[in-house]
Amino acid sequence: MKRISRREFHHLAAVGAISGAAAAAMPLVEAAATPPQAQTAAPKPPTKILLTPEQEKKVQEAIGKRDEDVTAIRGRTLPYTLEPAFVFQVRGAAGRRAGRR
Amino acid sequence: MLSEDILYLSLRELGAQIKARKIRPVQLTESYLARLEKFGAKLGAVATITSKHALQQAKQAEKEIDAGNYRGPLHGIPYGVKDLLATKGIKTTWGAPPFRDQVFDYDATVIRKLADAGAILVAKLSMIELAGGGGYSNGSASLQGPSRCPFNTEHWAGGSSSGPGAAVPAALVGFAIGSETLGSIITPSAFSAVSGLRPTYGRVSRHGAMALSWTMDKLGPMCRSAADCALVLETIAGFDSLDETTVRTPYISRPPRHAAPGRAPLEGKRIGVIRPDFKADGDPEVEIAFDVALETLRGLGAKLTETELPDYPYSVVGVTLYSSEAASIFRPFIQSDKLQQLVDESQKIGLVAALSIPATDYLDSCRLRTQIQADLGKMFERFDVLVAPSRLRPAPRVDADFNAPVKEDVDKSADKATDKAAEKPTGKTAQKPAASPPHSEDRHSIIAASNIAGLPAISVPCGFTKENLPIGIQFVGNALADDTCLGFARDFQKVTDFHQRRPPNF
Repeated sequence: MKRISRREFHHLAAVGAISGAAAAAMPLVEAAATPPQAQTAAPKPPTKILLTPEQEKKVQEAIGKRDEDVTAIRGRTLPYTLEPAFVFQVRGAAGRRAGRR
Repeated sequence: MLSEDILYLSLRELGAQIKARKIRPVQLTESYLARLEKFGAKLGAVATITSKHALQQAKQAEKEIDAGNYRGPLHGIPYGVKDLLATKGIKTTWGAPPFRDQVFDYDATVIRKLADAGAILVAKLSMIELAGGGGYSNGSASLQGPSRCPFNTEHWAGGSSSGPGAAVPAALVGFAIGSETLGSIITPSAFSAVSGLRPTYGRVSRHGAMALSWTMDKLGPMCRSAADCALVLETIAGFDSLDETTVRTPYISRPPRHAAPGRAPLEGKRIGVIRPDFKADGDPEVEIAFDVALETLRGLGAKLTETELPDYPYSVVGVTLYSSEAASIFRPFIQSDKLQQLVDESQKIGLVAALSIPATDYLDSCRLRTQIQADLGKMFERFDVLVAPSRLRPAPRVDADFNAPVKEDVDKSADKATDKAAEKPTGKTAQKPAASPPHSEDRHSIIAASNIAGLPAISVPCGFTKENLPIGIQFVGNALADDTCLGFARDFQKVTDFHQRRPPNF
């Protein structure tokens, strides 16, 4: 069987020169690098965000900067009884004072 | 076409003339539409002009008024909305290229309420993409391009409610609706001489508005006067079963008070002054205008006392809160290939970075919010309102890079042009003045503090720089005391005329 490169394979597949079954059977130069299920499994959402290397670097820098900034939060000792404002609502006491001028 | 003088009238004056059938809604709508066509693109103010829809509404309004069915003071008045409010059958782009063709099949509650009041939607107005949720590095971070301040078009109109900021002072619309998470109504109001009200959190339904932060998003009126804001708030406020966070306490707008003979309008009223460190962070012209405004308030009889905000890291808390929520809201988008279609690099970086905020940091911020609410609430036992400059500097140039290092005497405004742009980590480290100790500016971060606590605020113009750039002063009130803020602003505007100035060439 004639061996073809990955580029040739994609070209042939794109123009419909080979059927899906035939394409799956066609050995590739880099076949070993492709897990067998990858060609038949349903497409999955990307698990890794598609960023350029420059963007990756900037994200890491941003995370580093944020870690510095949040020391202002992490450095605080919050009272054990202090509960978060999960579902945010304005406070009732403030409401009673509303409109006072 | 109606004259400019009519298009610049206050809402109450327009309403009175419509009611008296001296101004016809169709003619008024056609006149505003013509101005939107003529100046909308020049100011970068417009996302979509809704001509067909507007003329249908205008004809309906005219028919009803002719039949004696006058609905109220907004009946027949054209308005615009920031393009993050869902409008049935009309594009809602959220200012972002990936959503350029997005169309909802329902109206946001605010749109429905305004339609019920007979107001006429003439335009969806431009905005910073995704309301700047990931941070942004310049005023061009929008599908619609940069918006321009009508008073000096080489400068930015502010964001993220950019379109309302540009359209309202140039009378392209009768009024507009903006939104704020952390400064997005106050900032364009300050930069473009708009009277902009950020209502108490929960005062106005968020149903149908793009969610950036469930616990911090607010919708509010952006108008040419505080009195106009009061009129619009009356229409859009109120409980909504489609937004569980809306408050049930009714909004009651009191008519403008008239001081008793021999008494000043603000006599006996207590104002807490949050004075920033202008030398470290501010602009001298803003400082002068702010001081003159304080003198004006003193002249109206108010007792002014300098005070400081309680010591909290407001900026970090605010950013952690809304970034965490934005990351959850937009996770599918951030993880898709559409992320790369956004205009601004900082926006992309900020959104991706926000996915990794630890839950403990978010929860600690929620806990700090509990404390901040309580401590700010105590301040209103001593003061009726707090006042502060709306922004410490006037609008930056349209092409300014907000991430650029601070250079003395060049353009210190760039790195802090908006709260979000300034406070979001964007991958670049802005250099702060060496004299500024860590977090000292947070003692003056009233935009962050009041947004975290859900407090109302209104920004009104209080001066102009030599370059004709507007300067704003903000009045911050206790929760649900929206009318108190409006009252102080109305009294201030009775003795000043900055809000009546018209931009040259418009």
